[in-house]
Amino acid sequence: MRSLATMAVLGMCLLVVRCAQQSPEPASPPATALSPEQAANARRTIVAWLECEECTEGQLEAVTRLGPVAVPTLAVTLRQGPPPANRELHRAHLVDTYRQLKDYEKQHPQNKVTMSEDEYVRFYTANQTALYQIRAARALATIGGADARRALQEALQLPLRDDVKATVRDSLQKLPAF
Amino acid sequence: MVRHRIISALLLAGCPLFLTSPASAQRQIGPGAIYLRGSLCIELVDPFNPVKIPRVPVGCEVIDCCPGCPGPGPLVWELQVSGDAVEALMLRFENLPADRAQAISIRGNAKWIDRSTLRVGKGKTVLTGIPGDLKERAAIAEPRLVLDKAAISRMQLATYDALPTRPMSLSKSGLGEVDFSIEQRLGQIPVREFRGFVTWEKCELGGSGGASEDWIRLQNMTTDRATVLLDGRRNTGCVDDEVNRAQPDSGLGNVLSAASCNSEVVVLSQNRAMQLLTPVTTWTDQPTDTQFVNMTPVIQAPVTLWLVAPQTQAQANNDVVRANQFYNAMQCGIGLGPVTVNNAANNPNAQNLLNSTCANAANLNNQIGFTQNQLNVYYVNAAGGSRGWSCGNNTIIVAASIADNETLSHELGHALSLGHTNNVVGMPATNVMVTGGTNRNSITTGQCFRCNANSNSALNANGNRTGSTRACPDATTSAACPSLILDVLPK
Repeated sequence: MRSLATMAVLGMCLLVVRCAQQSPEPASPPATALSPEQAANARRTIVAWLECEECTEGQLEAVTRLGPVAVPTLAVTLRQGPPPANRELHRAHLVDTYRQLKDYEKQHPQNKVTMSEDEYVRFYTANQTALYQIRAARALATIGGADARRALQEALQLPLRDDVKATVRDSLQKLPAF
Repeated sequence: MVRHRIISALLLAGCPLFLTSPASAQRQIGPGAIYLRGSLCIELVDPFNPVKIPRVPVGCEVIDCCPGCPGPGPLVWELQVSGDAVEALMLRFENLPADRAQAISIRGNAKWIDRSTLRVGKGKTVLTGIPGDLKERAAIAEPRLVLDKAAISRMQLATYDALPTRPMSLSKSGLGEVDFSIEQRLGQIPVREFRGFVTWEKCELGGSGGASEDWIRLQNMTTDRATVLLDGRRNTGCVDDEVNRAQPDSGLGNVLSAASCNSEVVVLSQNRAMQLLTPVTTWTDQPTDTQFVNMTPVIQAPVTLWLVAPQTQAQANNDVVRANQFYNAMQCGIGLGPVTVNNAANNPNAQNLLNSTCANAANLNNQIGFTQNQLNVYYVNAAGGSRGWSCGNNTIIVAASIADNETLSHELGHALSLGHTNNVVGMPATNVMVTGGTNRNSITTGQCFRCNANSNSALNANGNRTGSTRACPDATTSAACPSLILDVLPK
């Protein structure tokens, strides 16, 4: 009888440990339940955070309110940065701007741009990529959960820029402990 | 005379387009849409030149398209083109592989006119199989509005037939409008939107009037076509911010003595400072008056750059040149100069201030350096996750590692009294004061006015500009404050 009770207690303990191992943090629910309108609004909310200048208008809080449903988008943004369409639009803008600057330089020689067009485009493109990745990491930290943690941990294995990696490490430290 | 004016208008080569954004052009559009909104001045439209519209990238706005989306794939484009004096929207695609273009299915009023250009007629058109999943370089569409030449000519003739009394008896707006949109969808889910809404306006075009006319004559001008905002009295009553262009003169028709009307002239131009003449007492009831305006060099705002983060000199230089070129091209009449550069990376305090927000502004000022009565810009590595800050007290911070090429221009706008425009109805998404975005290339005439005239602009606070000042918050439109969205193109 006593051994039966002991076995029952041991069984309960094993069950608890197993459950804890399986889901120490809540996983992201599938986002497939979003209506097209909800999905579009969620996308706009995420873009507003990824691109804001000072971000003083509640952009991060809005993404955080989206909760785990935003995690897959943020995780892939952390890995890859902006989508190809945004990169191409930005590249075209930088090329246009550089050429305007060189025209301006002809009339105002004291305003000399020292970078080549290629350097100019590469420099600001790299900043845009880092911006998206840093913002994604910070949002993952505030949303939290197992999937967010995994995305941040996996990002540390990627060849990211040093400042992006530093943000990822910082974000991991800020994740609430479970 | 009428014929001469029409020919003059049509000979304004290049981009003879003149956009304003009056309140009449306001219309609610979908949230988050990238859009163009404004009013085209009919007198300056060349019906043979399609109207250029900002580029539209092909593909999703976030990398997996949306929360819950299956990821990038072929897209559906739903296009709507409607309105007056427009025949079609022409889309010229770059980076679109020929085989993918051929696979696009068209339902509605559109056809390919060559391998990369699609002509989309009025009405609703649905394109399916748009390649939103190109791995290397995404395709990008350059839209143009193809005008209905006969309709444009009819509107132009109607405008000029109103001479010689000059147009003031006619409504400035209401000639017509054009509405177009491109919604990119993955299945049923919108993944990127573009909206455009413009109205055809009758604007005042000066410069070739007869002797019996009042005039603005600009002295010491360049070849730029200046923008002249006129407050005064016409035979129809008071006018506020009536737009004219001067190169270097502008015939105004008959501006009457002011009586109880506000009477002033504002002139904005490239390579010259904004001129604000108030009150103007030149005008009499006779059409024989001339107001001379002495145009002066661009107002220079001295700036000290503090390079706290290492290897930021080339970037800071780029950004200053961009700000100078941008505020000049937009006719704001403002520049940064002289520029003093201090390499502060070896400052013993620099290491602790590499990630600084406005909370650290006093430390930056005290420990890195600060020049009184001028703008001080600190290039740090990071700025608390923001791209930049304008902290007041002549202190601007730029996060060198994530700033874009317009971050300094944006923060300078704050220092010159401007706020964000994301929620300002009628403001294009490309405005430099949008928080965010990566393709900011415009600032309105109403914003340029505030940068110069507002007493809380750094130009006035630092004594770079002399002359009368105003208190025109972004949201205030009055006889003293032009609408923030008032805009005139080309600059």
